[in-house]
Amino acid sequence: MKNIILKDIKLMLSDKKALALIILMPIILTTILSFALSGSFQDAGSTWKMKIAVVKQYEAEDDIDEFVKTIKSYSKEFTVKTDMSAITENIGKFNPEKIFLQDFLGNEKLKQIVEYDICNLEEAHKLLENKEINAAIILPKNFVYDSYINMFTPFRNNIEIQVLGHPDMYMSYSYRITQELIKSYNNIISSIVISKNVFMESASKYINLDEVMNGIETVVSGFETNGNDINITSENLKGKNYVSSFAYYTAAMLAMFILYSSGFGGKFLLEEKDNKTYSRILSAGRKKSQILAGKFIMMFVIVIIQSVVMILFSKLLFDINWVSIKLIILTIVLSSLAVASLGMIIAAFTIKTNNYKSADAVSTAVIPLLALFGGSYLPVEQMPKIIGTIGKYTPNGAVLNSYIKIIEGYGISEILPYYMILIVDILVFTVISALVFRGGAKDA
Amino acid sequence: MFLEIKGLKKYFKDVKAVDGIDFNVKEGEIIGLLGPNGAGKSTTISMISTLIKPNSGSIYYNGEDIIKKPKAIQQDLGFVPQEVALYPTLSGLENLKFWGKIYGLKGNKLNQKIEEISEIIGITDRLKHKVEKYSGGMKRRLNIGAALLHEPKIIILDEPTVGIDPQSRNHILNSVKEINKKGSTVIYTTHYMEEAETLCNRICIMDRGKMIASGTKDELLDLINANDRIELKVEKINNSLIQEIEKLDFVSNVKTKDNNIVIEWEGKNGNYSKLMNVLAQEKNKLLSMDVKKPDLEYVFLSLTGRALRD
Repeated sequence: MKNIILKDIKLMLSDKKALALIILMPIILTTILSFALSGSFQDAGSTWKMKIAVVKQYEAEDDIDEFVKTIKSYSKEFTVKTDMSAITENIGKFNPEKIFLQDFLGNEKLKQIVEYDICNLEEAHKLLENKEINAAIILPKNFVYDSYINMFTPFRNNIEIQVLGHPDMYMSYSYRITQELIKSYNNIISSIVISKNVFMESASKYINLDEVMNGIETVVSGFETNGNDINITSENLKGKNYVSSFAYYTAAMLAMFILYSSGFGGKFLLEEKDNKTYSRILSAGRKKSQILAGKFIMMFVIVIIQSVVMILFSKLLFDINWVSIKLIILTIVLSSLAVASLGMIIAAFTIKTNNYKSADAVSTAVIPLLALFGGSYLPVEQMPKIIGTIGKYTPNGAVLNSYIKIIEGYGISEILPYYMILIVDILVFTVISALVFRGGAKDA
Repeated sequence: MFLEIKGLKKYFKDVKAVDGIDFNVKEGEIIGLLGPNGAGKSTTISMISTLIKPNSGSIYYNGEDIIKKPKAIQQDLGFVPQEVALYPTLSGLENLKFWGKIYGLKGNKLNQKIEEISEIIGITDRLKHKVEKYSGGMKRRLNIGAALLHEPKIIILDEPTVGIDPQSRNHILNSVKEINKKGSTVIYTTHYMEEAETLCNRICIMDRGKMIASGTKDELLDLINANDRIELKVEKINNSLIQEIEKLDFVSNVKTKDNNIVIEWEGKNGNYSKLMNVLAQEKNKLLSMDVKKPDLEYVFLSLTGRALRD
């Protein structure tokens, strides 16, 4: 048995082309992707901040004048004896620009992660081109006017705040966070507008419009307290390590390239059958199960070698902190078992069909698909949710998540769900391969 | 009986690969299975090697039913498949070590056997090279060597000389003889009649899954009561010449073929001069003469109506 296993490992190691694919390729790809897609990742360390440019396309004073004019025209139209001085006073208290820049972006919590500068559109474009900022927020024409209309009248004007990003950074966290910020700002404003509208509608039945208009101020002033609703999720990550692009892609490429080792079991088994060493071993009284076990252990060992090489490479060259040796060893062992058992399914189909198509299909179609779903190309958070959900149950997805959690500094309890997925994968693959082998036993 | 095969049948769907054959193998002999491609030789030895199970029939090795108990023969067996069943990316030495260990050898015993066998098969100086760098003949020799390490009591060689140069072929045939001298019983399949003739004590002729004849070479020749044949190429063939040849008492049959006269006769020394006298009397000029002793090819042809290599 030991003899068969050693022979299989020797055969694998003598296949220079295969070795280059499974050992060198992930190293090269990790290096390339880590540098190329570093924009998609935040830098390590707690001092990280997003840089945002805010472009004002409105004239605040003109907007206020315009709004006063509009209100006056309403007063005439509806013959309401509105106390204009009260409205003007309220306008002074409710400053949309101040709310957005100081109360919202300048909020104590947001200040931890956002740094903004005000500039014009042209400057913003230049800064984006030079990647000196992560995103630009464009406050549109009539921003102040429309905000007043929304706050102090029964009407609602659409305010479209745009977020600009560099094409290379559309998928980056920073760009997406900025979009989320604008969304939450809009939500807060919407909730105030809805409250105001409800108040106006209900109050107008019982009190005169003058009192209604004055009461709006009270409703709108509630915004300052609502500002406390902004939660920055980075708070939840306190005490955990940041995952750099180098760390992410080391884990991602490792999770993907170990899958390629699963094709070797089938390939070697069919070669063994084709060149009659398979039957020669059997004629010497050895069992088929010994030959299959040799292939399984060969794949298991190869994945261990791949994993150790990648981890050492990333440690030495990118200075990645893998935090827990014990968890790394456990992950390597489980991932090696998962890949080897997946390899046995491929081997079973290869032997059953008596050609390399199964192994080839895995290399050319299945692995890239698993890699995509498992997050090896891009973090699943940056892809549609369904991909992340499916990917979580793939062996490479579970391996990648395990490694990322280890790098982030989590303990076994947080990584256990991924280990459970791997264990389930191992069991399912083993059962499937046993069934296929049994079905193909006559042919083999 | 050392190895006893009775009523052995193996069908692959509608193909009767082996169709009820019987034969025995005596300990210490070289027995040849001779037949054209598709005769059922490889299927027969695959069943003896316990690689495939027969549909019916029995194979007894030293009194043990090896269909039921394959282990009874497996460790005594050295199987040399027709293909080079080795690992091309490993060295000759690594291959021999692997196959030696497969048969349970280890340590000094293994190293000693590797040294001995590589000497017999003539690859000592190339042992550390990768097999993929070997010539076809060397691969074949190593293929045989891998089956000899554990001193098997019975060696089965499936067409071991197919597609190799005459020098390597001779080397292999000599190796087989040497192995046999050391005490191993050999089952040798081939479709080369000359190999069977020179190597084997007894020959079983197979065709289309059946055993059509078996015995020593002489026994097989006796089966068809064959005479020598002489093929004469003469200047001119005429009836008078044919009639004069037919009158000779040692001639049993005369045929013409193209410009040749094929004579079946008892080819004793004195008879040659009698035949030449006839040619001289007929004033015919002899252009060439080819004497053919009866051989297994002729036996096969006589028994099946087809040539061995058809």
